[in-house]
Amino acid sequence: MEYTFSGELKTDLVGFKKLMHLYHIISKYKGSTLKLNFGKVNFFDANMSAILLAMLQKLEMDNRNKIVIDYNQIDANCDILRRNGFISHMQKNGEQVHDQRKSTVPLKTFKATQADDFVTYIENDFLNHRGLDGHLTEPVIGKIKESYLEIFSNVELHSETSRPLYTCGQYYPTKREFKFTVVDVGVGFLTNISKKDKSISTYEAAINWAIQGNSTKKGKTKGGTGLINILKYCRASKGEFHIISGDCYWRFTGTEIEKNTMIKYFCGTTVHLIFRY
Amino acid sequence: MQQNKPSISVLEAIGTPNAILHSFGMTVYDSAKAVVQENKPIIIDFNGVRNLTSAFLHASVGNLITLNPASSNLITITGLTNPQWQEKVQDAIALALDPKKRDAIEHEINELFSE
Repeated sequence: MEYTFSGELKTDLVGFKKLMHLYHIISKYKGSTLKLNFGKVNFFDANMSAILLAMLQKLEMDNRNKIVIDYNQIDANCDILRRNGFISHMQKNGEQVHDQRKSTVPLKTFKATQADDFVTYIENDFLNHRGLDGHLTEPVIGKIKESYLEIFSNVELHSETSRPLYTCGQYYPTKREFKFTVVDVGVGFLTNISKKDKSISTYEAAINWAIQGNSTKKGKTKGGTGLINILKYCRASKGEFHIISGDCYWRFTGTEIEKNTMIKYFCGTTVHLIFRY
Repeated sequence: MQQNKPSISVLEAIGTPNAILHSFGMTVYDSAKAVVQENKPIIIDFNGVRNLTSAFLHASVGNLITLNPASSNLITITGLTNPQWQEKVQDAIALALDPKKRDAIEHEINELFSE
């Protein structure tokens, strides 16, 4: 079986749906060799490879599929996926990649036990990236870091999976944009939140609930999911904030909230943050 | 008086300066639980901690506060180097003592989107 990507793959609803299409097509196969063709790709947001890697590793583990990629096609059409480490993840060779152009935040995976590694990544690779240099005040850096650490802590607590968290980013100097994506392949917001609040029965309601500073932490106390600080920052800076969980694609455009319901969906939760300055 | 209280170093208890996981918070909670249940005072020392999340605080301080009504008077927090952390600790305590406080957070987001 061969699946061909074509055109552009951007950090938006259309881009996510393209990846979902891939996932649902090839998830029908078990114990098969599946070839991914990148020959017709002409644009690929590097941060979207966090979702692609999460999907492919899930398909490899759950369905025992073997994913085959012609890496020459990637080098020819979207070499960003070599520079950000996607290829080395797929080849499982542990190769350390060095993006000479320094336009990517490397694609990484973090298990819940790797808290210190995640902190180092957020501090050094993400928030110390040249793409953000001088654009964020120290208090904002502190708040954004805190938000991602809260997200990481929520994955440990809620996602009910031993699978890692996937992260990646890309900087576009000429467009003055910086995109950062975090993906977990757990149960998503709805499962845990609906246990806490029986009135929450849709993914959209669950996302709203989570953003409002609630969380499903065990014990008698409640805390935040870390999402509200990111949202506040985006509100102030006209940045974008996307949350995808279940069938809901929730997007803060910088000025307003849009919600789209999707027919098919991927497990877990994906969070995109798009800085603009 | 404070010198006589038993003390727990968060850094030593969790073995990292990154107090960010709920499970790390539960480690501190488990270490302090017996002392608080006996209505004895205890110091929780954050010296050396570099990063702190609400998940950690709710699991540690928040859960200790809920053990008994006198808990908030028994627990002394020291070593909070980041001024904002004091606020986070107070939030964790306030939420533990009064779950209705979280309504303030909901109000905050509603304010955010009301023009």
